[in-house]
Amino acid sequence: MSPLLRVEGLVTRFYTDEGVVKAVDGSFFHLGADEALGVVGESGSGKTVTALSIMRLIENPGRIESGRILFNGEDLLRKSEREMRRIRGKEISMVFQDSLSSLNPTLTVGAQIARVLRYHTRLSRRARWRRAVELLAAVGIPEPAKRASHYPHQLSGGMRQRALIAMAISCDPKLLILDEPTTALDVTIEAQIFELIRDLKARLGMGVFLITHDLSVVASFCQRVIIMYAGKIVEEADIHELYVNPLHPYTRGLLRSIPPLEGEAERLESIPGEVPDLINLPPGCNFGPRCDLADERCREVEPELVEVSPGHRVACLKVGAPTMGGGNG
Amino acid sequence: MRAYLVKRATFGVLTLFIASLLIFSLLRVVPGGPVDALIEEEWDDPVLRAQLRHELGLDLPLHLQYARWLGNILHGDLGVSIVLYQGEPVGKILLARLAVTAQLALLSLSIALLVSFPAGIVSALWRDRLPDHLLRLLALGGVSTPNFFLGIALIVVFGVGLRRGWGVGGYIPFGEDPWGWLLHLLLPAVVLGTDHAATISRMLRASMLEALGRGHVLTAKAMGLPRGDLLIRDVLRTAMVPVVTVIGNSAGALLDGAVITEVLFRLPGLGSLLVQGVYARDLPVVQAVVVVAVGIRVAVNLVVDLTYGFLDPRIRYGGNGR
Repeated sequence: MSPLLRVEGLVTRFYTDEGVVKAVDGSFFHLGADEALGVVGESGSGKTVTALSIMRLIENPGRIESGRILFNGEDLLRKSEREMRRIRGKEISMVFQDSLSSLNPTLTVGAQIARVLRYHTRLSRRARWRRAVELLAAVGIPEPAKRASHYPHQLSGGMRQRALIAMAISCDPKLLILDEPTTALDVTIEAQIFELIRDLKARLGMGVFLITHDLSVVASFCQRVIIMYAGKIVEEADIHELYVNPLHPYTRGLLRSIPPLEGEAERLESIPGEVPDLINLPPGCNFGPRCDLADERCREVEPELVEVSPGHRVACLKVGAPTMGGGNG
Repeated sequence: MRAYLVKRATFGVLTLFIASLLIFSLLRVVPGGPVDALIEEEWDDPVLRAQLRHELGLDLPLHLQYARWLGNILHGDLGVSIVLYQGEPVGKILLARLAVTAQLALLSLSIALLVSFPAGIVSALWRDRLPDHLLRLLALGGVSTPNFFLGIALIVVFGVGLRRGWGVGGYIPFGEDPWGWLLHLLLPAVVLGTDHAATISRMLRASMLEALGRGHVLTAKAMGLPRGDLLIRDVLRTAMVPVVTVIGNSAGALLDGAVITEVLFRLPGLGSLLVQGVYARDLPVVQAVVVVAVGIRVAVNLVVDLTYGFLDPRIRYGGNGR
């Protein structure tokens, strides 16, 4: 069966005055209809641009250069803007990180949800409002009928994020993209929000594309994870496999920088160096300059993403050879 | 919001009071007075002067003069013209002049809004592309062309240059001849309107560009909302507050009377009355014009404040009122 979403060779670039930013440079991945896929990487690694490319929301000076984005088998890059508008918010929805700026300050949250329903459903004005209140209830907002007529600034951060999620799921999307949905919230609220999303995903049966820089969030929520670095996917694996057997030096670095929940932490490590300039990428492997294992060949040859075991892909010249493919992680 | 409005209204009254005090004192400092204007040189003599001053109440101590003037205003009496329209009540003169200025202001503001909104919106949506460059150049021209220059240019072209003379200058009441009314008001309204259109469109462009970058615009796009809805409810509405401030300023300035333009086109408005009053040292007239002009400003600003509340619920409900 073909997956819900299949991205093939996606290249997205931004033509700035300083030069061409290779924000996403040849991504291949897929997402199942009922799957939660995590995308992890530092800021500027291309996570959000990947998501916006899927939504076809890349704007000047950005351009999707090539590739295919197959959603239910149909290439979104071949759709007209009109067709895309019918897909956005209905088939594919997106929740952004800062709930205060992501909601319109001049409309009540109920009105904002009802507005989405207006363009994607045939509900009457009153039915739309009723549905908006139902949705607010469904995302766990107390007194939804009252809250529906509140303005965003009158709600707490957690409630705003819930309202934003209510808006995103209002038309039962098949795919929900979450772009760091909890960065603006404190930890207890963060846990509640993920609880909610998990619950909604189970009830509505949708694919979730979760962007985060936090591997521990991915561990508790996703089945599979993609690690991005400087516009490229460097590793992709089942979440279990990734923790047990991380192969890319960058992934290992990321894992070493998370404090363990139990036992003694040997030492939390940081990855030395900085994210490369996406305009002037180093030759060879993008991670090369920060990698302990890098040698001459790494500085010349760009590594391809290769499958080392079923479902586990990695782009590193130092792995993939049988000597390192096994269980020494 | 109510407390805020009460505060603003109080400030408004205070502003009016200070303005009245200022204009009263300033006019007393200026050399020359109504008596000089009234007495012909050959008749000049100290006894006559003293008598006139007494009749006009100008021999009273200044604070008494001020108190009497202020007291009369509170009773709706703006005084009597001394020089210009000898003996006529200032209130009546003012009303007639204000009517002309108000018509001119309305026409000018309509032109300004009709030009600036499409221009500002196109400029913002086609940012840094050809339409934007052209419109910005035009707006820059509009801002930097002095009104007297554009006014004279229009008079030369339409009043003198055209074969079929377009009656330029003066005022014809709408009731007498609607077409003539429009012809006579149109040119000065274009002069004033383009000036304000330039300011408003520049503000609209800047404010829209800021609004376009806000998160909720991206959310609205991600929800598949159509462009029109997005433009009106996400971009324009949230971009409106600074624009309304500028429009309010324009409306206030226009209603105060455009001195140069009114004089240039010989329109019997508030602005030209002020100039005539100053030349004639007609103290009650000048004082009344200034107080009324300040009053108009205060009122317009209050309307602008009310509009903010309508546009932005954060202002309507104050800080974090749950």
